[in-house]
Amino acid sequence: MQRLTDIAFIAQVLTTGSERAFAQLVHGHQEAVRRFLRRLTAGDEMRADDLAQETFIHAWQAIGSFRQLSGFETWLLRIAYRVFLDDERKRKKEQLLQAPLPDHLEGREQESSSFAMRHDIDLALATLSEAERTCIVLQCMEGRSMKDIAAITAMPENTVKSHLLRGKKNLANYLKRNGYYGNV
Amino acid sequence: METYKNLSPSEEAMLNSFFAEHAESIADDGFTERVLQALPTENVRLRLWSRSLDLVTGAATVGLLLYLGIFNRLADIMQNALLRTIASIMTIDTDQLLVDLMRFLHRLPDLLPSGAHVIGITIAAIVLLSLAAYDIAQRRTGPSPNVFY
Repeated sequence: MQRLTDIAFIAQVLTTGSERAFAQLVHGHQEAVRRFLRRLTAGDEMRADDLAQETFIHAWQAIGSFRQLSGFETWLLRIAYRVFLDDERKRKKEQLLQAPLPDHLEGREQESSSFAMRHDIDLALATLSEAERTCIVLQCMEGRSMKDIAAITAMPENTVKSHLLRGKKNLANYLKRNGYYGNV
Repeated sequence: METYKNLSPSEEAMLNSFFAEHAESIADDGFTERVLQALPTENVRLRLWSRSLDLVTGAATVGLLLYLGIFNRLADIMQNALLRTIASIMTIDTDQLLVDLMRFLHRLPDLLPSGAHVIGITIAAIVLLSLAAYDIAQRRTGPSPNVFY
C-alpha cells in the first residue's frame, strides 16, 4: 500500500513538479532516513538532520532516475548513505574527527534519560567499524533485508553477511563487558 | 586472525533486547517544511518547462516534415539513387555513373517543394531556440546530480 502511494506521489512530482506531493514523500520517510543518519553520525542530531535534508534535496533533483527496482525508502537510504560517506570524507579531510568521542556527546551525560539511552547505543555502535555499524543499524534497527542492505551500501551480500556477523559479535562482547544482559 | 562463529542464542537474545530497548521514533517537528523551503523549486520548473518545449518542438518538426511530404521525397530520391547505383555497378560504366550523379545533384533543388528555404529556416530557428532554452535551463539547474542512485 505504501509502495502504491509512493508511486502515485512520485508520478505527480515527475509530471507536474508538485512540491506538495514531494512533501508527502518526505513526511512519510523522514523518520527512517533521519534515524539511520543519527546512528551513523553517533547521535549527532543536528548533523544527521542536515544530511537528511541534503538527502531529500538530492532525491528531489534525481527523482527522474528512480527506477522502482527497489522501494522508494531503500532508494532514499542509498542516497542518505552516499551523502553521509561524502560528508565523512570531507570531515576527515578537514581533520575534524580527531577526538575519540564526538563533541556533542561530551559533557551532556545527565541531560535526560532518553539522551542517556541514545548515548548508550551510540557508544556501543562507536565500537564498530563504519561498515559494520551501517549494516547493523540497517538490519537491527531499520529491519532491512540482506538484499536491501546490499542495495543501500553497494556491497555484495556475502560482504554484508560477514560485516553483520563480525559487528554483532563485537557488539555482544562490548555489551557483556559493560554488564548489559538485557532480558536474557 | 580472529574468526567469528555464529552468535549463541543468548547473545542473539541480548542484542534483540538491546535494540528493542533503544528503538527510537522521530516526530516530523517541522522537518518536512524545512526541506520544502530548501528545495531548488525554480530549477525543477524550468527543467520541466524545457523538457516540454523540447517535446513540442520535436513533434512540430516531425509533423511539419510529414505534412510537406519530405520523408516520401527523400525515400524516392534514395530509392532512385540506389537503383541507379545498382544498375551502374552492373554495367560498370563509371562515366555514366558520374554523369548520373551530376544530373542528380543538378536536379536536387527542383525536387524540394516551393518555399522550402523559408520552411527550412523556420525549422532551424525552432531547433536553435529549443537548444538555447535547454542550455539556459542547464545553466540554471547546475550540473546534473550524481547518477549513483
